[in-house]
Amino acid sequence: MQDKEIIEKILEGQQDLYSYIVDKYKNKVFSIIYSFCGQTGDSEDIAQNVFIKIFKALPKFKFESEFSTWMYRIVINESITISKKNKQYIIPLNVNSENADESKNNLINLLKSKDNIEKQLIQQETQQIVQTAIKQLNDKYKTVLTLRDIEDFSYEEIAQIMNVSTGNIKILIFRARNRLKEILIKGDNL
Amino acid sequence: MDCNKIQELISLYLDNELSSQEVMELEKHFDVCNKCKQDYIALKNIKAVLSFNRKEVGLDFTSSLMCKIKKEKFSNNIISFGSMKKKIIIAAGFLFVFASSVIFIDTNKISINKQTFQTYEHAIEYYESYDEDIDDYAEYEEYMLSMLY
Repeated sequence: MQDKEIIEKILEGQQDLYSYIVDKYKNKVFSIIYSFCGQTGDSEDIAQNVFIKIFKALPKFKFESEFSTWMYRIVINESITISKKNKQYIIPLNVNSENADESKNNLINLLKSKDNIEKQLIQQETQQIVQTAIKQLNDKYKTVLTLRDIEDFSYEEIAQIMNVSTGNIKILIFRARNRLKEILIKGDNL
Repeated sequence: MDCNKIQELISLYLDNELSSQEVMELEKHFDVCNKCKQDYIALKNIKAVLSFNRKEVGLDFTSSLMCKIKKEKFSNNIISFGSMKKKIIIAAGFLFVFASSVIFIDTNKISINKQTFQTYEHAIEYYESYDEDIDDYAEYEEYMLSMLY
Protein backbone atom coordinates (compact mmCIF):
# COMPACT_ATOMS: atom_id res chain seq x y z
CA MET A 1 0.00 0.00 0.00
CA GLN A 2 1.27 3.50 -0.88
CA ASP A 3 1.89 6.03 1.89
CA LYS A 4 -0.95 8.27 0.74
CA GLU A 5 -3.45 5.39 0.82
CA ILE A 6 -2.35 4.54 4.36
CA ILE A 7 -2.68 8.18 5.44
CA GLU A 8 -6.20 8.34 3.95
CA LYS A 9 -7.19 5.25 5.93
CA ILE A 10 -5.65 6.66 9.12
CA LEU A 11 -7.66 9.86 8.62
CA GLU A 12 -10.78 7.74 8.11
CA GLY A 13 -10.24 6.33 11.58
CA GLN A 14 -7.92 3.30 11.12
CA GLN A 15 -5.27 4.79 13.37
CA ASP A 16 -3.48 1.48 13.99
CA LEU A 17 -2.16 1.71 10.41
CA TYR A 18 0.17 4.46 11.60
CA SER A 19 2.47 1.67 12.80
CA TYR A 20 3.24 0.88 9.11
CA ILE A 21 4.40 4.45 8.59
CA VAL A 22 6.47 4.36 11.79
CA ASP A 23 8.08 1.03 10.85
CA LYS A 24 8.97 2.30 7.39
CA TYR A 25 10.62 5.54 8.47
CA LYS A 26 11.69 5.02 12.11
CA ASN A 27 15.42 4.42 11.46
CA LYS A 28 15.80 7.33 9.04
CA VAL A 29 13.88 9.67 11.34
CA PHE A 30 15.94 8.50 14.31
CA SER A 31 19.24 8.98 12.43
CA ILE A 32 18.29 12.52 11.44
CA ILE A 33 17.35 13.40 15.02
CA TYR A 34 20.53 11.77 16.31
CA SER A 35 22.60 13.72 13.80
CA PHE A 36 21.15 17.02 15.01
CA CYS A 37 20.73 16.29 18.70
CA GLY A 38 23.39 13.63 19.33
CA GLN A 39 23.30 12.13 22.77
CA THR A 40 21.54 15.03 24.40
CA GLY A 41 18.60 13.50 26.16
CA ASP A 42 17.21 10.26 24.89
CA SER A 43 17.15 10.41 21.09
CA GLU A 44 14.64 7.57 20.96
CA ASP A 45 12.21 9.46 23.18
CA ILE A 46 12.70 12.55 21.02
CA ALA A 47 12.04 10.46 17.90
CA GLN A 48 8.82 9.09 19.43
CA ASN A 49 7.65 12.60 20.31
CA VAL A 50 8.36 13.72 16.75
CA PHE A 51 6.32 10.79 15.40
CA ILE A 52 3.46 11.81 17.72
CA LYS A 53 3.68 15.38 16.39
CA ILE A 54 3.53 14.04 12.83
CA PHE A 55 0.49 11.92 13.76
CA LYS A 56 -1.30 14.93 15.23
CA ALA A 57 -0.43 16.98 12.14
CA LEU A 58 -1.80 14.39 9.66
CA PRO A 59 -5.09 16.28 9.08
CA LYS A 60 -2.94 19.17 7.77
CA PHE A 61 -1.29 16.97 5.11
CA LYS A 62 -2.75 18.19 1.80
CA PHE A 63 -1.71 15.22 -0.39
CA GLU A 64 0.03 17.66 -2.78
CA SER A 65 3.56 16.36 -2.16
CA GLU A 66 4.90 12.94 -1.26
CA PHE A 67 4.04 12.09 2.34
CA SER A 68 7.73 11.41 3.10
CA THR A 69 8.75 14.89 1.85
CA TRP A 70 6.14 16.51 4.11
CA MET A 71 7.15 14.28 7.03
CA TYR A 72 10.91 14.91 6.69
CA ARG A 73 10.29 18.67 6.72
CA ILE A 74 8.61 18.28 10.10
CA VAL A 75 11.42 16.01 11.33
CA ILE A 76 14.12 18.50 10.29
CA ASN A 77 12.29 21.51 11.74
CA GLU A 78 11.76 19.66 15.02
CA SER A 79 15.39 18.49 15.07
CA ILE A 80 16.65 22.05 14.58
CA THR A 81 14.33 23.38 17.31
CA ILE A 82 15.30 20.64 19.78
CA SER A 83 19.04 20.94 19.06
CA LYS A 84 18.86 24.70 19.72
CA LYS A 85 16.95 24.16 22.97
CA ASN A 86 19.49 21.60 24.14
CA LYS A 87 22.56 23.52 22.99
CA GLN A 88 23.63 24.49 26.48
CA TYR A 89 23.71 20.84 27.52
CA ILE A 90 25.96 19.63 24.70
CA ILE A 91 29.28 18.38 25.96
CA PRO A 92 31.80 19.16 23.18
CA LEU A 93 33.57 15.84 23.22
CA ASN A 94 32.76 12.67 25.04
CA VAL A 95 36.35 11.52 25.04
CA ASN A 96 38.56 11.83 28.09
CA SER A 97 41.33 14.38 27.69
CA GLU A 98 44.17 11.82 27.82
CA ASN A 99 42.88 10.14 24.69
CA ALA A 100 41.63 13.25 22.92
CA ASP A 101 44.90 14.09 21.14
CA GLU A 102 45.37 10.50 20.10
CA SER A 103 41.83 10.41 18.72
CA LYS A 104 42.43 13.58 16.73
CA ASN A 105 45.65 12.16 15.30
CA ASN A 106 43.81 9.00 14.36
CA LEU A 107 41.21 11.11 12.63
CA ILE A 108 43.83 13.09 10.66
CA ASN A 109 45.43 9.83 9.56
CA LEU A 110 42.02 8.46 8.71
CA LEU A 111 41.26 11.46 6.50
CA LYS A 112 44.54 10.87 4.65
CA SER A 113 44.01 7.15 4.26
CA LYS A 114 43.94 5.95 0.67
CA ASP A 115 42.36 2.62 1.59
CA ASN A 116 38.66 2.12 1.73
CA ILE A 117 37.46 2.80 5.25
CA GLU A 118 35.65 0.03 7.02
CA LYS A 119 33.19 0.64 9.80
CA GLN A 120 34.84 -1.83 12.16
CA LEU A 121 38.14 0.06 11.93
CA ILE A 122 36.68 3.37 12.99
CA GLN A 123 36.97 3.94 16.70
CA GLN A 124 33.99 5.19 18.63
CA GLU A 125 35.98 8.29 19.60
CA THR A 126 36.52 9.15 15.94
CA GLN A 127 32.81 8.93 15.26
CA GLN A 128 32.15 11.16 18.24
CA ILE A 129 34.63 13.74 16.93
CA VAL A 130 32.81 13.77 13.59
CA GLN A 131 29.48 14.05 15.43
CA THR A 132 30.77 17.04 17.39
CA ALA A 133 32.08 18.62 14.18
CA ILE A 134 28.67 18.22 12.49
CA LYS A 135 27.06 20.10 15.36
CA GLN A 136 29.26 23.10 14.59
CA LEU A 137 27.82 23.44 11.10
CA ASN A 138 24.97 25.83 10.41
CA ASP A 139 21.48 24.35 10.08
CA LYS A 140 21.49 24.26 6.26
CA TYR A 141 24.86 22.52 6.03
CA LYS A 142 23.87 20.11 8.80
CA THR A 143 20.63 19.30 6.98
CA VAL A 144 22.18 18.63 3.56
CA LEU A 145 25.01 16.53 4.98
CA THR A 146 22.65 14.51 7.14
CA LEU A 147 20.28 13.85 4.26
CA ARG A 148 22.98 13.15 1.65
CA ASP A 149 25.88 11.49 3.45
CA ILE A 150 24.14 9.85 6.39
CA GLU A 151 20.74 9.03 4.92
CA ASP A 152 21.76 8.70 1.25
CA PHE A 153 18.89 10.80 -0.15
CA SER A 154 19.20 11.84 -3.80
CA TYR A 155 19.82 15.49 -4.75
CA GLU A 156 16.23 15.70 -6.02
CA GLU A 157 14.76 14.36 -2.78
CA ILE A 158 16.83 16.81 -0.72
CA ALA A 159 15.78 19.66 -3.01
CA GLN A 160 12.10 18.79 -2.44
CA ILE A 161 12.47 18.46 1.32
CA MET A 162 14.37 21.75 1.61
CA ASN A 163 12.21 23.42 -1.03
CA VAL A 164 15.16 24.73 -3.07
CA SER A 165 16.48 23.94 -6.55
CA THR A 166 18.71 20.94 -7.25
CA GLY A 167 21.43 23.35 -8.40
CA ASN A 168 21.41 25.03 -4.99
CA ILE A 169 21.58 21.66 -3.27
CA LYS A 170 24.74 20.75 -5.22
CA ILE A 171 26.37 24.00 -4.08
CA LEU A 172 25.19 23.55 -0.47
CA ILE A 173 26.56 20.00 -0.30
CA PHE A 174 29.90 21.08 -1.77
CA ARG A 175 30.21 23.93 0.77
CA ALA A 176 29.01 21.83 3.70
CA ARG A 177 31.56 19.07 3.02
CA ASN A 178 34.39 21.55 2.72
CA ARG A 179 33.32 23.32 5.93
CA LEU A 180 33.23 19.98 7.77
CA LYS A 181 36.67 19.11 6.40
CA GLU A 182 38.03 22.47 7.65
CA ILE A 183 36.57 21.90 11.13
CA LEU A 184 37.99 18.38 11.33
CA ILE A 185 41.45 19.32 10.06
CA LYS A 186 41.75 22.42 12.26
CA GLY A 187 40.40 20.44 15.19
CA ASP A 188 39.08 23.54 17.00
CA ASN A 189 36.47 22.90 19.68
CA LEU A 190 36.66 19.18 19.07
CA MET B 1 40.79 22.69 -15.74
CA ASP B 2 42.01 24.82 -12.81
CA CYS B 3 41.99 23.74 -9.15
CA ASN B 4 38.99 25.94 -8.20
CA LYS B 5 36.82 24.24 -10.81
CA ILE B 6 38.11 20.82 -9.71
CA GLN B 7 37.18 21.57 -6.08
CA GLU B 8 33.58 22.18 -7.17
CA LEU B 9 33.53 18.94 -9.13
CA ILE B 10 34.98 16.76 -6.35
CA SER B 11 31.71 16.86 -4.39
CA LEU B 12 29.71 15.85 -7.48
CA TYR B 13 32.28 13.15 -8.26
CA LEU B 14 31.73 11.62 -4.82
CA ASP B 15 28.01 11.40 -5.57
CA ASN B 16 28.43 10.01 -9.13
CA GLU B 17 26.83 13.13 -10.55
CA LEU B 18 29.45 13.89 -13.22
CA SER B 19 29.40 13.07 -16.92
CA SER B 20 31.99 10.59 -18.20
CA GLN B 21 33.84 13.47 -19.86
CA GLU B 22 34.05 15.38 -16.56
CA VAL B 23 35.18 12.23 -14.73
CA MET B 24 38.02 11.79 -17.23
CA GLU B 25 39.16 15.39 -16.82
CA LEU B 26 38.98 15.18 -13.06
CA GLU B 27 41.00 11.95 -12.85
CA LYS B 28 43.56 13.39 -15.25
CA HIS B 29 43.89 16.41 -12.92
CA PHE B 30 44.42 14.16 -9.88
CA ASP B 31 47.43 12.60 -11.68
CA VAL B 32 49.16 15.96 -11.82
CA CYS B 33 47.81 17.79 -8.74
CA ASN B 34 48.50 16.15 -5.40
CA LYS B 35 46.64 18.83 -3.39
CA CYS B 36 43.34 18.24 -5.20
CA LYS B 37 43.84 14.50 -4.91
CA GLN B 38 44.42 14.78 -1.13
CA ASP B 39 41.29 16.94 -0.83
CA TYR B 40 39.33 14.31 -2.72
CA ILE B 41 40.63 11.52 -0.44
CA ALA B 42 39.76 13.52 2.69
CA LEU B 43 36.22 14.25 1.48
CA LYS B 44 35.72 10.64 0.40
CA ASN B 45 36.77 9.47 3.87
CA ILE B 46 34.54 12.02 5.62
CA LYS B 47 31.62 10.81 3.51
CA ALA B 48 32.42 7.21 4.49
CA VAL B 49 32.61 8.06 8.20
CA LEU B 50 29.31 9.95 7.98
CA SER B 51 27.59 6.99 6.36
CA PHE B 52 28.48 4.94 9.45
CA ASN B 53 26.50 7.40 11.55
CA ARG B 54 23.23 5.76 10.54
CA LYS B 55 21.40 4.64 13.63
CA GLU B 56 18.69 2.11 14.36
CA VAL B 57 15.96 2.30 16.95
CA GLY B 58 15.26 -0.41 19.51
CA LEU B 59 12.99 -3.35 18.73
CA ASP B 60 10.00 -2.09 20.72
CA PHE B 61 10.09 1.43 19.27
CA THR B 62 6.91 1.11 17.19
CA SER B 63 4.85 -0.82 19.76
CA SER B 64 5.71 1.57 22.60
CA LEU B 65 4.98 4.57 20.37
CA MET B 66 1.57 3.17 19.37
CA CYS B 67 0.82 2.55 23.07
CA LYS B 68 1.66 6.20 23.82
CA ILE B 69 -0.65 7.33 21.02
CA LYS B 70 -3.52 5.18 22.32
CA LYS B 71 -2.90 6.18 25.92
CA GLU B 72 -2.98 9.87 25.19
CA LYS B 73 -6.23 9.45 23.24
CA PHE B 74 -5.17 11.45 20.24
CA SER B 75 -8.21 10.04 18.52
CA ASN B 76 -10.11 13.00 19.98
CA ASN B 77 -7.72 15.47 18.39
CA ILE B 78 -7.52 13.93 14.97
CA ILE B 79 -10.24 15.11 12.62
CA SER B 80 -10.82 11.90 10.76
CA PHE B 81 -12.63 11.77 7.50
CA GLY B 82 -14.80 9.00 9.03
CA SER B 83 -15.98 11.26 11.81
CA MET B 84 -16.42 14.08 9.26
CA LYS B 85 -18.92 11.86 7.45
CA LYS B 86 -20.81 11.33 10.70
CA LYS B 87 -20.77 15.06 11.37
CA ILE B 88 -22.16 15.80 7.91
CA ILE B 89 -25.00 13.28 8.46
CA ILE B 90 -25.83 14.81 11.85
CA ALA B 91 -25.72 18.33 10.39
CA ALA B 92 -28.01 17.25 7.53
CA GLY B 93 -30.43 15.80 10.12
CA PHE B 94 -30.49 19.06 12.04
CA LEU B 95 -31.03 21.00 8.81
CA PHE B 96 -33.94 18.72 7.90
CA VAL B 97 -35.59 19.19 11.32
CA PHE B 98 -35.06 22.96 11.11
CA ALA B 99 -36.47 23.20 7.57
CA SER B 100 -39.49 21.05 8.53
CA SER B 101 -40.22 23.23 11.54
CA VAL B 102 -40.05 26.40 9.42
CA ILE B 103 -42.54 24.92 6.95
CA PHE B 104 -44.75 23.80 9.82
CA ILE B 105 -44.68 27.26 11.42
CA ASP B 106 -45.46 28.91 8.06
CA THR B 107 -48.43 26.59 7.46
CA ASN B 108 -49.58 27.25 10.97
CA LYS B 109 -49.39 30.99 10.38
CA ILE B 110 -51.76 30.68 7.40
CA SER B 111 -54.25 28.67 9.45
CA ILE B 112 -54.00 31.25 12.23
CA ASN B 113 -54.59 33.97 9.66
CA LYS B 114 -57.68 32.10 8.43
CA GLN B 115 -59.14 32.18 11.93
CA THR B 116 -58.02 35.73 12.77
CA PHE B 117 -59.41 37.66 9.82
CA GLN B 118 -63.11 38.02 10.31
CA THR B 119 -63.81 40.01 7.16
CA TYR B 120 -62.38 40.38 3.65
CA GLU B 121 -61.56 44.06 4.38
CA HIS B 122 -59.54 43.13 7.45
CA ALA B 123 -57.49 40.75 5.40
CA ILE B 124 -56.81 43.33 2.65
CA GLU B 125 -55.81 45.89 5.25
CA TYR B 126 -53.38 43.45 6.86
CA TYR B 127 -51.78 42.24 3.60
CA GLU B 128 -51.46 45.78 2.20
CA SER B 129 -49.28 46.67 5.15
CA TYR B 130 -47.53 43.27 5.02
CA ASP B 131 -46.61 42.99 1.36
CA GLU B 132 -46.23 46.08 -0.79
CA ASP B 133 -44.76 44.23 -3.78
CA ILE B 134 -48.04 42.85 -5.11
CA ASP B 135 -49.09 44.84 -8.21
CA ASP B 136 -51.90 42.84 -9.70
CA TYR B 137 -54.84 43.68 -7.50
CA ALA B 138 -57.24 41.12 -9.06
CA GLU B 139 -54.78 38.31 -8.47
CA TYR B 140 -54.18 39.62 -4.99
CA GLU B 141 -57.91 39.73 -4.29
CA GLU B 142 -58.30 36.15 -5.50
CA TYR B 143 -55.45 35.10 -3.25
CA MET B 144 -57.04 36.81 -0.27
CA LEU B 145 -60.33 35.09 -0.91
CA SER B 146 -58.63 31.71 -1.08
CA MET B 147 -57.04 32.48 2.27
CA LEU B 148 -60.31 33.39 3.90
CA TYR B 149 -62.62 30.67 2.56
